[in-house]
Amino acid sequence: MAKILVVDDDVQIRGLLVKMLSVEQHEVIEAENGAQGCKKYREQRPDLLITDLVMPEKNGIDMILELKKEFPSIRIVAISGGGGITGSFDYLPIAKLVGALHILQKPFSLQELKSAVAEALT
Amino acid sequence: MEELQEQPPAKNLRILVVDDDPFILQEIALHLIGDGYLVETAESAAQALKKMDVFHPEIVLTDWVMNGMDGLELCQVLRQRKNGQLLYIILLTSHDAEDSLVKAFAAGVDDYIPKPLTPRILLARVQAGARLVRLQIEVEQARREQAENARMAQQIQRAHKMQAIGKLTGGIAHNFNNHLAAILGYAELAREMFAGVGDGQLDEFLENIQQAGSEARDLVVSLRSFSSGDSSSCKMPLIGVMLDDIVRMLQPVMTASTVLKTNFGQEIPLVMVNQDQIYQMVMSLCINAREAMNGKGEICLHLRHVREVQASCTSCHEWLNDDFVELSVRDSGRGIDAETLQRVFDPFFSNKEVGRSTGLGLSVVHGIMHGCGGHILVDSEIGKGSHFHLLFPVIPLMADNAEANPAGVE
Repeated sequence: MAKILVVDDDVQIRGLLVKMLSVEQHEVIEAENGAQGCKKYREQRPDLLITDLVMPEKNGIDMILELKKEFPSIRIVAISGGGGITGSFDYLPIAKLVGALHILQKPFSLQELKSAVAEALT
Repeated sequence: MEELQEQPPAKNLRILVVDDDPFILQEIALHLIGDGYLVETAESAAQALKKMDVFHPEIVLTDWVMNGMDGLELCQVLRQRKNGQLLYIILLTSHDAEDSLVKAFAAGVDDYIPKPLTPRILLARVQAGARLVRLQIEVEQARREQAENARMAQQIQRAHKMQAIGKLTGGIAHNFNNHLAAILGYAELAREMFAGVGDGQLDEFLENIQQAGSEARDLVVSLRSFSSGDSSSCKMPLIGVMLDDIVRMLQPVMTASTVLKTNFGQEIPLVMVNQDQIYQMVMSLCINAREAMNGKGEICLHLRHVREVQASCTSCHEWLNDDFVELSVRDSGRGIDAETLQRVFDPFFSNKEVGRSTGLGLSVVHGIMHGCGGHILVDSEIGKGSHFHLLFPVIPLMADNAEANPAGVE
């Protein structure tokens, strides 16, 4: 059981992640954009950050960069639908480059999420 | 229009003079050359017809009465041959009675010069003809330029359309994935948390939701590879080796009366594309080919290194002038007309019955090819079949690396 911060602007996806993680007995906190995510991470220092990448108010990549500087050993799983809102640019490989331990392509299965979380926490 | 003013002056027009009297022929030729025209002579209609194909005159000046074929017959033959093309014909004649002249004009003559000839009348009549010829050349050139401009504008417009569609599908794919994540995720969670509720019916319903969601996810994967070309997954396999595998995998999709022929050249340079993508493209093209032939005919897969390709990409319309590795798929099917060919790479365009195809096959091919820096050429003729050429960019100076890393494994 771990304390996990979930950051996603889509309320349904956030709810889904919270539910899936709660079933696994994790303690979950939520944020709806990168700015809020940074704030909550500093306040609550969770064991793991799971974040979407394309979001308003500071995107996921910027949040990862900022937190990685402050907390070099931060554990991150990045999730994205792949491709920006306006085009074909793919953020997932970039998330990996800037420090995400795992990347998950939406839509993901419960099993994929479980193993990504398990591996990121070990 | 500036270009038109740089045209050579009318006097540089080419004139073919035809007369069976060598002295008259000589005299006319000298006067015309003296006035600045390019002149060729013929002593008979038959000789004139031969010289037409080499000299390509704009003006023909011919005597009426000659041994063998006469001037009027020559005129008729020329009109038939040139069929609407630029040619100004002047007849030399002593038959200046009204009936004769009407007959001459009916045969296709543009003007006549009465015999006996005087040099001043000869040159004045030829100059009048040259004026008309020059105007006609200008009009023709303007028309060609206009057609060329229209063609360019249309190509640019099509290229923009493909780009816009690419962006749009990328955006749609992103949003779809978000929605699908919720649909599939909640369905999975519900199955896990409420297993056995409602005599297993709930589970069955949820399974159906998951099934539909998975199909939608596959569709989005195809859409994304159209919009991005998935260049991130480019690998460098030895394409020939891998094609043999693909052909083996294709066999079951072919019908008993479809013959699959292959010709994979030796020493093909490396290209940047991975096995799944080649498989997907060859599969799409072969299935289309099978449909186009109603399951009966010959499909040829051909791999070769092509040099100095000069053509315009059928899907993105960029002008190509380069060496490529070409993988082509040719069928003996019903062919594609020019208008349809302009639309076959658009997402969701399909000629197949509604419901039989997603219409993404060729747009995925477009995406993959352009994602790895390649292009597509298509030749097709109604009733004869279609020939799709996938052109992969040749990777320079990679030969040594390839030997050290033969299958492109990372």
